[in-house]
Amino acid sequence: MNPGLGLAALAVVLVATVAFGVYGLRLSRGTSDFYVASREVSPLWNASAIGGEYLSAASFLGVAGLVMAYGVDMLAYPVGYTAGYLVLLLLVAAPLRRSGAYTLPDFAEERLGSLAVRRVAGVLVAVIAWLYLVPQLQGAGLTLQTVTGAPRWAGAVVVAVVVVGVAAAGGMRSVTLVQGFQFWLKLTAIAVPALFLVMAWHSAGAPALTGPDIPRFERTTVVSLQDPVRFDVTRPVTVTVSGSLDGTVYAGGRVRLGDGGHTAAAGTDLTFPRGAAVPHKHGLAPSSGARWANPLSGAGGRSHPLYALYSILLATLLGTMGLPHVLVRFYTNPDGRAARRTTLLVLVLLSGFYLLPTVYGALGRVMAPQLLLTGQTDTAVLVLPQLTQAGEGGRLLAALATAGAFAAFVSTASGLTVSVAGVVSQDLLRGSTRGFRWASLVAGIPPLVMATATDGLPVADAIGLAFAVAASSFCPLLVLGIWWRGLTDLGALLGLVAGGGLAAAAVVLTSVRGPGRGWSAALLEQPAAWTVPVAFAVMITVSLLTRHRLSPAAVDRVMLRMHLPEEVASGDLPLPAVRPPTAGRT
Amino acid sequence: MTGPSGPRRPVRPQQRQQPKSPPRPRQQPGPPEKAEPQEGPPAAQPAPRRVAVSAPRRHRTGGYSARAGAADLHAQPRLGQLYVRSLVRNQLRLSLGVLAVLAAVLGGLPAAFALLPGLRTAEVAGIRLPWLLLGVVAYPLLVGGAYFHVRHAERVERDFTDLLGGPDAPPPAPPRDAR
Repeated sequence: MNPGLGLAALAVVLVATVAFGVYGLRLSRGTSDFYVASREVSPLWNASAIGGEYLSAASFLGVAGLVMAYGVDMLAYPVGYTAGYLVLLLLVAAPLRRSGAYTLPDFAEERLGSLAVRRVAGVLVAVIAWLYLVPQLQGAGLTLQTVTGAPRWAGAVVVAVVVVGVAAAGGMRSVTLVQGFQFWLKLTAIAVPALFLVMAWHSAGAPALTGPDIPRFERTTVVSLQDPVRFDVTRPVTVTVSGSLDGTVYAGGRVRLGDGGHTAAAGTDLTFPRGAAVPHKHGLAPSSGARWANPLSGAGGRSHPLYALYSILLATLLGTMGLPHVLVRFYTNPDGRAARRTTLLVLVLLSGFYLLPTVYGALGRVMAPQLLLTGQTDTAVLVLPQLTQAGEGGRLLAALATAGAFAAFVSTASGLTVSVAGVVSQDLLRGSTRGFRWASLVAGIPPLVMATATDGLPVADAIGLAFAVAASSFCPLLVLGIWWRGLTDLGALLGLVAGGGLAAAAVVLTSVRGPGRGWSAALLEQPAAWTVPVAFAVMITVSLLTRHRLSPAAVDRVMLRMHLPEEVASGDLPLPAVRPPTAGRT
Repeated sequence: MTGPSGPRRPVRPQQRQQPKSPPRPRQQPGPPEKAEPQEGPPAAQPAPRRVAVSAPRRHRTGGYSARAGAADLHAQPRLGQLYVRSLVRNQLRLSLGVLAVLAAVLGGLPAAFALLPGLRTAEVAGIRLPWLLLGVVAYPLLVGGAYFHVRHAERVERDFTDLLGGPDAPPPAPPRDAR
């Protein structure tokens, strides 16, 4: 790829982000501006901001990558990401907005009157946000590497610095502006190249996607490896090698690759002849087009596809409501009704976006099959655009895709940073603006360290784990807290610990042992299907056992506030005043 | 999109909770003369079509606003409790209805693919059915479900506000339609 144009695209996104950030800084005068943009953001702009914040590396890069490697089952991710907003709308949006709580820990304390639950919720917010941030930063590293050949850590550092800087400087209002802008940038950046991609596929004779064979190189292809790769050859092939292969250094010599595993060092160029079957990266089982296009076929070597599909759906449907950066955004709505309408708009925007990654995932198999060899299917959205047009046109499209990718990292990462910083500064630093700035650093640095130190799962899978943790901790807390009077503080506490703890343990085990096979691997890689029921069961059972801890008057008061329409609850009533977000802890 | 979540009559707390005989000096629907046609017990109206609840409005003479109604909720905790509980119940029923449809559709899809292998390779307009359903068709359905819910949730709230407010205090904010 052309480094100059890619860097220019990156620079444009960053400059625009900082410019919007500075503009927001001029506008944000008080502490309330700083946290929730004074709750005066219009539904469309707010919906764009939510969409911009939500469409992360997983959506922009990861979905296409997973579809390319593992087939139609992976469409459960984008459907689940979108349906998660519907569930959020159904169960949470308006009451949560009306509760007047600003963060999840605020909600926990307000509903249950327990500092202990508040603290546990605070810890979980940080864990989920960090889990979510790591793949963003890794995606940034991968993108910058793909575009310019820079080392992996460079992209992560660039994004982390910009995000922490913008968040610390302007807070929520500037972030709202930035993200509204970035949603439309992302949509453009994925839609325009997709159009050209489909045209290129047609002009190439529309090669079949569902053929009986595993992917083949359509033309003589030079595969340049940026990282060391171990791959499996299933059909012997003669390639031209310049670089290091299986421990031997070649300078353009022809090598016969036999069946079995081979290792190529970073910087090696492998030239495959036209029509050769594509060797796949170790761990990714080659699948015929027919198998790849079939649901529940376990294409790519994933075990227990039916269980995985349900677990993904459950995690994304229920996890969305528990994502800290999603919830914070609802407080920028003026009232509960606006919160609902905003959510509806978000669904419309997301639906439009998620039609597109599938195109990349499907066409990538015939147009850029070498990604199956390098294992970098996550870069399909970046690599494909420039294959659609020869010369400058292709480079411009690639630069556009790069800009979209960086918009994805920056917007999601800033949303997460702001929400973690909000929690940390309110709980530890007394809610001052200065505390918020320090807290931004606290929020941004640990994931940066994790992202640069580890290699990581496919982006969308890693995000799926963050969803699983959210679904097994905050989802039961919110749903039961809003709709069931019987939830007690002890029940909530134990439920959060059990569900969140089990899911987090599964995440840690998965990332330590890597992808595996069999039931144990399936259960650990997609934990939501069992951790969510456990969390609900613990919360309900313990609450029923500790009924005596309920104070009906307090529950009534909170339920009244969460469910009464504003026009009833507003004005100089003896209703408990809706507390401004920062006043509570000063 | 009218599933089990179809619009429902709002529950009138006064009727449901008679045995507890809460203090409801002003909210009492009054002598049940002309209110009857619309005020019948829920069981007598199996049709799921929602009708605007207007009886309390028509027979109120006291002229109090939604605010006064809310103040009542606090002045009389047990009454407020009943009112809010019925509001919460209505909203929850609406949400669970839409959620049930969502669960049936999204949850049924993998099961259908598992049980009917023919569906996996079926093609519609040259596109494999699973790709079409998961990649395209799912999204308008989700938006439709959301639209349905927003409309009806707002209606539930409007009914509730009308229930509290008198004839000369129409709810100040809400436009009649969702958008």
